[in-house]
Amino acid sequence: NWNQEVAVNGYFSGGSGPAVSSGTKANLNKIFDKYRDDPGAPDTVGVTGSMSYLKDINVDIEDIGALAVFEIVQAPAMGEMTREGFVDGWSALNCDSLDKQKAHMRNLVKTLPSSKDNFSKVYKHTFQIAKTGNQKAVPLETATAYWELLFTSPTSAVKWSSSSTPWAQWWVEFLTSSWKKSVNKDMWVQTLKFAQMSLDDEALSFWNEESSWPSVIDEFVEWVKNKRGDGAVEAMEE
Amino acid sequence: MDAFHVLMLKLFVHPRAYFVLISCRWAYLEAGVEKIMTDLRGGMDMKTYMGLYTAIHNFCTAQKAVAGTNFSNHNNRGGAHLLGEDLYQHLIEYLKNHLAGVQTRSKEHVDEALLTFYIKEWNRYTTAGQYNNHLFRYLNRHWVKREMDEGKKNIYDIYTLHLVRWKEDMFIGTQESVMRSVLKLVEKQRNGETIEQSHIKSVVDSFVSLGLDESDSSKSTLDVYKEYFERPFLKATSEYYDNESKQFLAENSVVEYMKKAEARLDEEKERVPLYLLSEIMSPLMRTCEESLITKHSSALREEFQVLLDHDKQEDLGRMYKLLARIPEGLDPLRNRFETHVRKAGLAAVEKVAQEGDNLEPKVYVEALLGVHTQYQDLVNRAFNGESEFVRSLDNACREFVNRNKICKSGSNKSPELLAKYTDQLLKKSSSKMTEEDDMEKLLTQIMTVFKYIEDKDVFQKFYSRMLAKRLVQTTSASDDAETSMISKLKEACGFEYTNKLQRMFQDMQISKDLNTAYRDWLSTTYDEKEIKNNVDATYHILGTGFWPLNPPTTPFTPPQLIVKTYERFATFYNAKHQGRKLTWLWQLCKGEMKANYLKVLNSKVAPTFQVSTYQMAILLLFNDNDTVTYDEMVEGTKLGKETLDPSISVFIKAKVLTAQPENAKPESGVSYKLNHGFKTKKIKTNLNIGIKSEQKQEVEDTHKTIEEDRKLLVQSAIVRIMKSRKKMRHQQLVSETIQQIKNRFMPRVGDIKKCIDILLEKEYLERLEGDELGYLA
Repeated sequence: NWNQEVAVNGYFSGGSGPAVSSGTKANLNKIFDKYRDDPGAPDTVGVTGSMSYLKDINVDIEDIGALAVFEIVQAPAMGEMTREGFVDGWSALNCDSLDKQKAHMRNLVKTLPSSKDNFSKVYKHTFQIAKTGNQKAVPLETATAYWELLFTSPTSAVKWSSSSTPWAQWWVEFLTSSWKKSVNKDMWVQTLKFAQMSLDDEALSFWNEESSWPSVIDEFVEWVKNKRGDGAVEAMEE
Repeated sequence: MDAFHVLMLKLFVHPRAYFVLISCRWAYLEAGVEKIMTDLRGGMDMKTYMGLYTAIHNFCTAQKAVAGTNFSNHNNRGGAHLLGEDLYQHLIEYLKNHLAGVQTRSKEHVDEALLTFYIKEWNRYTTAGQYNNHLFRYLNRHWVKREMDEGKKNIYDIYTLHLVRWKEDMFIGTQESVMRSVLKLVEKQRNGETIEQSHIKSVVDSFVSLGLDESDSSKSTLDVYKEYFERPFLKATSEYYDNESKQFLAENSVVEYMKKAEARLDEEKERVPLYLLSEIMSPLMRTCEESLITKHSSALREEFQVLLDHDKQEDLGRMYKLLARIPEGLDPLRNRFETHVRKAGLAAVEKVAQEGDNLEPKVYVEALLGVHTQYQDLVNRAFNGESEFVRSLDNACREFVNRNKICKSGSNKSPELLAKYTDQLLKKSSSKMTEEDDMEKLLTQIMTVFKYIEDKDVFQKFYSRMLAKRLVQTTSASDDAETSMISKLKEACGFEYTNKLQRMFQDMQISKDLNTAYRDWLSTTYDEKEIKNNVDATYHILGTGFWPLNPPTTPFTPPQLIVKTYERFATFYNAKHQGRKLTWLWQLCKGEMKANYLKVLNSKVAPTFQVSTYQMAILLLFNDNDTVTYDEMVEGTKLGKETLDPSISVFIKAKVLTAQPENAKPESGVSYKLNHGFKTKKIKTNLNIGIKSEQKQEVEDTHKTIEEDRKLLVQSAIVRIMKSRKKMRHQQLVSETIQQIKNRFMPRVGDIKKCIDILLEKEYLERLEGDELGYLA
């Protein structure tokens, strides 16, 4: 009975593989235990453990792949994994061994550049990783570091730049030169939406002052228009 | 013709006539009809008339004799039918012949003579028609009625038959030349000649009489008149005025033309009751307006700007009245008027703006008012106070009051200056100049400008600060004027807007009573001698929430003397109101000190210094020593440098103290000596002088708090809206927020969005699909 139920759940949650068995969970718990580094916190893997874990499944700790892993295990902070997140995350994907996880990640990283949905999931979870503790906003410096990674890495599905406009670079330049405030969740989420739309329509005709963008986006649009206007004038003078 | 009626009664009973006149022929009747037609004046004796009437009666009833023989194959009324018809047809033939003759004779006349002829013939013919109608009464009653009841077409009572024949056999052939004559006559009159108006009136009446309703002869219509009179008349009118106006405008100014057009319109209006049908009034007016106004409306409008520039009220009024008569005639004027007023307002402001930062609030407000008064007057006099023009005036005023050269630095300059001007009026200093009703008039004028102010919150802020000052410093000129102003504001903006102002007023009253109670308490608690030695003090107790006052910005240790004084009061107050915290606003406190070491010139009285509490603390240090160093002052008063230094400076400037070394800036190392050589003629010397930089700082602070208040106002409006709607599209939320806020100030979309950002961050709101926002409880 119990197995049947899990099987049904597995089916409905989109998994085409066999049902999650108690064996899977046991395996995953065993793997998790292997990387625990603080005896005082039995259900947590810290930074050191996480790093060696990533290394073991062959994921570059400095690329989006690492963020993807943290999304799968719903890491509450950078380099931190919980037992519950680890077991639930991987068992939903039916990867109960390091080899399976390694294979999954290899495949994910390969397909990430063309999978906007997966990328978007990773992007959204990154906000959780980037903020510290119970704070509601991410310091600007941290946010821009993640944006640079997320918008310029070869693995990214939203490479935010074009032949005419180095969008991501301008975004960071604008934020550090005139915005200068921390980044809240709404701004984080809306930035991805804006990035995607601006790539589709570089003239930004989708934007107008009345629309619901956060004011930071409004100000950025203004900034971009100025910058482009200056550029045009310079081009003419040359 | 009264005789008819009497006759007919007698004629009814005459049984023998059946036989006598059964063989009567049409020839006999025709002779009688002819006599009536052509020689009614010659008279007809009763016997002849009776004979004719009886003949007709018998003609119609003869069927009894012949029934069942000649016409047996007909129905039982066949005989009467045929006999009546016979008579009817004979009459038609007669009328046709008769009218042919009349028409032929009409050709011999033209113009007025033709009209005279036509009218004379018409009158003769219709009189005869009526006569005949009575004569043929029996036919009308029976045969005609029956035919008509059966729905037979083209059968009429005898009088109507006369009209129908006239229309067919006379009118159709002559109406054109008749109308030509009529129109010639009217043109003569329009050219200023005197004409025989009654001719035209008769023609009109005759044309109207011919309007027979085909389906019901008892009714009449205006069809014939409209087709054959009104239409050509309007056409001629339109041609006449097209020509005249074109020519007149070519030779005269627009102003002259407007007078002419006005006169012509009046003339035509007066023409109608003289000899036309009242029904023609509206089409005639429309025709004239089309020719005289609509066709020249652009020329008129061109002149509008010129007239405005030269303030020609009378001509503007004329233009308004003319263009108001045509559809959409005024719209372009309203736009031009609005632009003109706005420009005038901007120019007036530009003129006073030359004074730069020294611009007196009074001068500015009067410049705004001047323009408003001038054009309101114009609207009332020339434009009939019409609401659309009032709206244009309001739009223009709102524009130049809120956006002009003075407001360039910030849109809230206008409310600030208006509030300052109000303050000047309500202050004691100016009260001597303004009589009571003048004050009321001036306050009303302020409200006129206030109505146009968009940033009403800015006015409120400045006003409440200045009111607070007037009340605290008791510089208010009159309670009545203050109350009147507050009630005016309340009327304009509602209870909430003036709530705090009213509470401030109440606090002052409560304080008054409190001081009386305190005096009573003192006299029961202390003996007379003690009271005499105490400092005599009054207290204002001001509710923190209502007064725009901040606690002191500098630390301060009050002198022991003052501490004892306020502690006494605090004991009294706390006994009365337990648990209330008193915060002393030292920066607003003031007092008087007697300088016992001095004498007023030529008197034995020691002079009194009016000082701030801070200055009092400084001077009291000199009770112990004639020389006090800067450091000792800092130590003794604990005042911050930015307060201490200017206070000392006032003493130096007034020569109450001297600095050593001389002219040294207030700083550590300098010492101050009491100047025993201080000379004054005045018993009271005011040393409590406000400092300019403080005032400027205050203005800046006020603006800053306005910004803060606005953010809160917008946020609370958003939350209020979202709380009731739960879900809402972004744009709709923005526009509804504007709706809620705009009577306080005009929020910018960008600012509203920033507030939405804040509320998203605070998780009062969340983003939903498709540009929607949701409320998170």
